[in-house]
Amino acid sequence: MEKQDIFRFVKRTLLFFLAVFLVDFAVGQVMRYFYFRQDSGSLYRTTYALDSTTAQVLVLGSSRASRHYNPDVMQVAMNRTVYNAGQKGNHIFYHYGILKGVLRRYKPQVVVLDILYDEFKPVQDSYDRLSVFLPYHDTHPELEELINLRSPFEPVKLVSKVYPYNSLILPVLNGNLGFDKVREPEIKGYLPIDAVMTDSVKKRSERIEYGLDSLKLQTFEEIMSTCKKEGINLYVVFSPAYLENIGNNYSVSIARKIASEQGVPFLDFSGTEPFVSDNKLYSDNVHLNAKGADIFSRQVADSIANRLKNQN
Amino acid sequence: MLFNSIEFVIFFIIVTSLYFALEHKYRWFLLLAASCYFYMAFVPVYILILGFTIVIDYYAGILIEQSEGKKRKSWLIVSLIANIGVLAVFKYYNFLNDNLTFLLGQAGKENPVPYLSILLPIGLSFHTFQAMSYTIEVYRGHQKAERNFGIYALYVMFYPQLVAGPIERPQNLLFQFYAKHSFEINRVISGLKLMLWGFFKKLVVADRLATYVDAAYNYPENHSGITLIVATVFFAFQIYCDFSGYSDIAIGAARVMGFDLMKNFNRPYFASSISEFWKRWHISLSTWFKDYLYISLGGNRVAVPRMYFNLFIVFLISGLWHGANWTYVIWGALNGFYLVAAIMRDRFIAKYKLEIPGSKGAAGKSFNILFTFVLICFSWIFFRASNVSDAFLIIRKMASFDGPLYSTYPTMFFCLLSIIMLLAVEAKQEYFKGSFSFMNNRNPVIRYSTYIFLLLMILLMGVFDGGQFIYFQF
Repeated sequence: MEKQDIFRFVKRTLLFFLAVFLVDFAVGQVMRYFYFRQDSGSLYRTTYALDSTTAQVLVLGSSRASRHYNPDVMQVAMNRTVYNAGQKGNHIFYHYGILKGVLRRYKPQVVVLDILYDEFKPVQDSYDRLSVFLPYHDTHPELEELINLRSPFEPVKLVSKVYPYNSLILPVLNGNLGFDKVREPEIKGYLPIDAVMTDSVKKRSERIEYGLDSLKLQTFEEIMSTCKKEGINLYVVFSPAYLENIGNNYSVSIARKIASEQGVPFLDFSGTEPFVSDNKLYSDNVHLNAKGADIFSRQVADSIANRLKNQN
Repeated sequence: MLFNSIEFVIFFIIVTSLYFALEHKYRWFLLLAASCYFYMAFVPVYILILGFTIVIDYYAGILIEQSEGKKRKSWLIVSLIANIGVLAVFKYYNFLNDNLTFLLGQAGKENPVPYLSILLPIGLSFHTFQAMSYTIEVYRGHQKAERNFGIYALYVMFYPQLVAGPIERPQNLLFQFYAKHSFEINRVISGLKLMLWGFFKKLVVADRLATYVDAAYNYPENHSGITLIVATVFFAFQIYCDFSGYSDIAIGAARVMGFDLMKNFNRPYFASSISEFWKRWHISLSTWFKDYLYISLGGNRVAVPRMYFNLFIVFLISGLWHGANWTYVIWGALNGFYLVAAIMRDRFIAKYKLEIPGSKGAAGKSFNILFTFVLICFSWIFFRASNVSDAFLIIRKMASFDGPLYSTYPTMFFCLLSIIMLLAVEAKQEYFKGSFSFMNNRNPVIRYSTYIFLLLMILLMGVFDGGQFIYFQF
């Protein structure tokens, strides 16, 4: 009786998992189709950065990058095509992933890496956010190493065809229906904000030293060595923030030190006018608005263009 | 090891397969070894604490049984002191020291008592309470002392319920380790179904809601009253699905191997009064407090004011059981107050044979369910807030009932959808018990489609980066 039950159970389990496999495959294919059919929204911008852009200047960074660098303004000053591949909520691992993906297709002349305050702080979220690369796991093998930073079981989870699209139903729907084209229009990856910061009181950012995330530091160094190896002009930038003492942030200091050791230019705009004194150039403490972004884009592009000129 | 991890799935498959492959006489040893491994996956060294109380309680049980009179009681006291002592050191020492520092600070003095740099062992309150129930039951003569040390250790350490319950009683669990459980397909499938539903509750509902609740409750000063109201309601469902999800997985995992663990939740948010809520919420703890504390204090056999006092004290201690923080004490006190007030009201109504208009019928019941839910939600504010001042800030902001609603559309969509799915299933179970069932449908196509749908929902909507279960910290 018991043996019979075990046999029946094994048979049913196998059939069940076969059905799960088929449904998972079918739903996964549907999700995949609609994922790569998007033509707007944040997911689309990752796809575009990885698979389509051929810009000579590539901007990498988090939301501060996507809000601060206006490619149209930069193009005029640099006389080069620019794409802003900044992605909100992401950290150094994401930037490295985009760089690796892009290098499979072409070699940009200039990479601008906008680093975040507390970039090297150990935060689990930086690893969790690498889920953004899951839909590309089979088309971009160069991202595998980064995807596996999420957990050692990622290859097991990726047996499922649905898993890469976990929590993405609505964003994918949005990317297909094009709501973001109206709600949050983009200019070559750049997402301008019109809002103006109302609070003129400048808060102080205290320097707090913490245990640094060695993987993040290693990734930062790998970005620098990759660019050096590929002959790409890399510029590490710390863009403006309306916070007192932010330039003294622990991670920013570390980035400055490592960049200097590696001979990579570090452009620090934390103490640059007019951003230090004019809160009307911001939408909040850490994001420039469109007006501020235009001024900043001009400044950073001029600075890089001059360096490139001197280099030649 | 977390239930919501691939490690656990692999562990469960291996242990269960070995369990049925082994001869009955070796199974307890396998389960004990697996439970040790399960516990040591968190902080290995803490198994020594568990070992310490297991040894004391094992011998205390035998000595209680062999002794008579005062000696018998003194062995019980030894056992209780050992268990409560471990709790006091690991859970309450720094909390008490904090308060001492505050009090001495008020008097302008420094606290000479040093702080302990220790982590709270996972699930400490659960297994100490389970261990205490054993010695108390032996003392009361309801349970024979267990002579097999390994079986007793397994009673405390049985991995499905080791770190977050249900808090079992020896009469219900110990004998099951001696019974031979054969592989019964219907029981195995029933256990797996319960586990699947538990995973759904944890990954799709609780962890999804946590993303919103954490954002609001971790920085209440940055959020509006409306947002905090929504976050509090979400937290009510989060904690329910987090904890009952764990219980479902635990009960399901045990059932697959042939063990029956006690029911821990019974759709608590359909309770129409506070006393009913506490009969439906964390049943194994509520009954523990009733059996071992409330009855020991005199239960209902004392004068009415004393009974109210006893009830209040039990809830106060229940609050403290949850955590060494004043927020939990207030949470417990609030629930104690609710219950005492409800009993007083009921007695008053009964005494004067009052009829409250609209209190009967579907509308009256619906109102009572909603009112109970609102009261419980209010108490959850203290349970979830990081500290007492945050809790009061949240209440003040909620009272203002204004400001914009913090929301990113996918988060809000998934949160609401998950709550709707949960309520639909539970409302069906509550009010339409004998009617159409998806999971237990006679038609295998419908049944299996439901399992696949749930799995798909977990893959599409589940939060795989979610943290541990809330109740682990207790």
